[in-house]
Amino acid sequence: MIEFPPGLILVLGALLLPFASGVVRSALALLLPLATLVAVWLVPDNAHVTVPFMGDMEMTILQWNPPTRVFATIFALMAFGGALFSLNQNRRVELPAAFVYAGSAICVTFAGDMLSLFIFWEMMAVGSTIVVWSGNTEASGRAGLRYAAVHFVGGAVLMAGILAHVFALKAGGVENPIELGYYAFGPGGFDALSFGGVGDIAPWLILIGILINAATPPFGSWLADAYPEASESGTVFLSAFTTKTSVYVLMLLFAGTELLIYAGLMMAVYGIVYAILENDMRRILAYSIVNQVGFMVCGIGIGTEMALNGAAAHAFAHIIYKALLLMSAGSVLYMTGKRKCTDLGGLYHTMPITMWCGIIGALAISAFPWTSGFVSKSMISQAAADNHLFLAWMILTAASAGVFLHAGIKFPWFVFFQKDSGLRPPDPPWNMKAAMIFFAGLCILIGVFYEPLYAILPFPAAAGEVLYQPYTVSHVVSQLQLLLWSGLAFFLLLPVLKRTLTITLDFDWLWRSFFPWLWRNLLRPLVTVLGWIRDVFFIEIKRLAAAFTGEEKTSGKGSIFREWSLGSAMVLLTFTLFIFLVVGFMH
Amino acid sequence: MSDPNQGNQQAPGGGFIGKLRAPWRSMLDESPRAVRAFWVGSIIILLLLAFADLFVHHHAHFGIDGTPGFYSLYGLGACIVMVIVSKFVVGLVLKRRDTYYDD
Repeated sequence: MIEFPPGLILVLGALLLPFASGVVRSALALLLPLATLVAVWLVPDNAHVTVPFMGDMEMTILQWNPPTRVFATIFALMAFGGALFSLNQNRRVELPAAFVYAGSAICVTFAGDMLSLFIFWEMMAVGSTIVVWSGNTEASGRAGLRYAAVHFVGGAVLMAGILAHVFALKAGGVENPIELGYYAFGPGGFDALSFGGVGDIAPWLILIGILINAATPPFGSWLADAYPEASESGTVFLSAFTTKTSVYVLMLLFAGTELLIYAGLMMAVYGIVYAILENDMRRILAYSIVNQVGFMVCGIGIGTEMALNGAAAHAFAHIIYKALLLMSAGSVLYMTGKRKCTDLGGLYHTMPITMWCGIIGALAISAFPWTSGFVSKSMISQAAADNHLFLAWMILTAASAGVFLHAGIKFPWFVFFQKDSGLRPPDPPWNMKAAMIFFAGLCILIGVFYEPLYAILPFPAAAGEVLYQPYTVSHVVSQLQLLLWSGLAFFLLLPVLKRTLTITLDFDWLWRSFFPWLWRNLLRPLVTVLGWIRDVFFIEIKRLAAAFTGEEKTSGKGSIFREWSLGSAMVLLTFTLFIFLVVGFMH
Repeated sequence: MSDPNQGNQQAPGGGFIGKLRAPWRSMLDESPRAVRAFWVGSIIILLLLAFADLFVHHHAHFGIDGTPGFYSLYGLGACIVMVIVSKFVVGLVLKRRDTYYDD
């Protein structure tokens, strides 16, 4: 039986990877995720492992929470698929960093208290930043820095929220204030998110800290900024863990928080609008992550068992087909070195496997019947309908149509068809093909045999009952109508959808463009002027006065007023403090 | 063989049909029959699906979603609105050259 967090297999195993090479390294890369997957399933149902923390408190590092099984399973599976896809690349740090990242994500799903959850949450930020940097380009270096800055600010906000709540709970006489149960704000709805009394800031800070990682606008521009700058294989890993871990944590803490319905709907629409305008194929897919996570966040906001099951199932399905789409795009990038739709097209001639796998991923993300997206996403829409949320249902349905438009057709069409770019690259190396075929198979397998997935959802069906029946004639016909007619819209609007060599400004404009501008044109001149004023008042006037009174020659007096360098001032200050300390101890 | 640099430009024919054909020119040059088969097949399937509503009972939650052809028209309409909003509202304000941050 496993009595430790299974994610640690990946985290610690990652430290061995840099020392291995050749076959040993490949074997380790494939076996570590599989061992983790097995370990996840061997954790006993009543597992509860704690480690002492700061004397009187305990951190629970291993326990089952309702959504743990579905998320931990898919994270381990994803680490395996990603490792297979990246087997032929020779970047030394990328895969170990990705394993630390994936392993920490699995540890988050088993965390039983806020503090251990936070520690693994931050480890994910470190691992993923290194994955971005492994892109080994100047752009990835800068994007990684921005990525790290956003995530560590997000982490600080989350920590501030946790601390605020810990103090509030301590004041209320709670013994173990880091226990996860005290942080489930969800059922309180808007009441939990009020500004009524002391400690009410805590849920807000925690929510914002998580939403930053979930890529919710206006905090979400880091995703489309950083992910597409990573390497072909790096982006595949990145797409899976950060946002979905946030979905997991939101599900634990904020299930049923009405605000999340609107946040999710906004994400779904935002992702589509930006993806329609985008030219870089991997940025199209990055924006569509935001769109898909929007469906999950909306489901969490609805908060019924059906909605939460739908959100969890959708996270599971999404990780597979999104990774598949990014593998397809990554293969194209790997073989052609090009990433803009304007440079691509007509690749169906020589990359059939990449194309078909890309198309299967595209069908799955669009929730075509008999693909994984259909059996998961329809539960969220159904939950919205069951709760008579008319606006939410209308927007979710429109967004489902939009998914087919912006990712389902747009990505394969502009990369593999449309104009002939003249490029004739072959399909990628065997391991990349194998990873794609494996995930494409899963997309269809889950779409057809969905019961095993439904069985591990947070709220499984009672014995003898059916959790949800996705395949009714009405469902299939309405979904096909919705998708194929939006396909018609795509082809009717093709002349308008012409690719252009443009990007679309997002919130990261604030710190990439506006703040530097503010510094150059406002703050720096201001500081310069203040510097002049200081010079005039404190140096020039003194010198002038000295010249008039003839003091400057009497050097003995002048040295008392000589400006001290910062260094000697620090030495004196430290020494004084040291004396105080010694004197204090002697008493 | 078409010139790869021209694939994305306007059709010389002009007019609505000409504009619709422009993105397909490269594929039309290669296999006009496949393109034609794709379009004819698609239109047949679209119509069949829309008319299938006359025989399929939808369990309507809001009323409007029980109307025959609702999903077809809603999918088409929603996509057109989203493209127009993103291209001509958001795009107009926020679109920049892709070297914007490099300059």
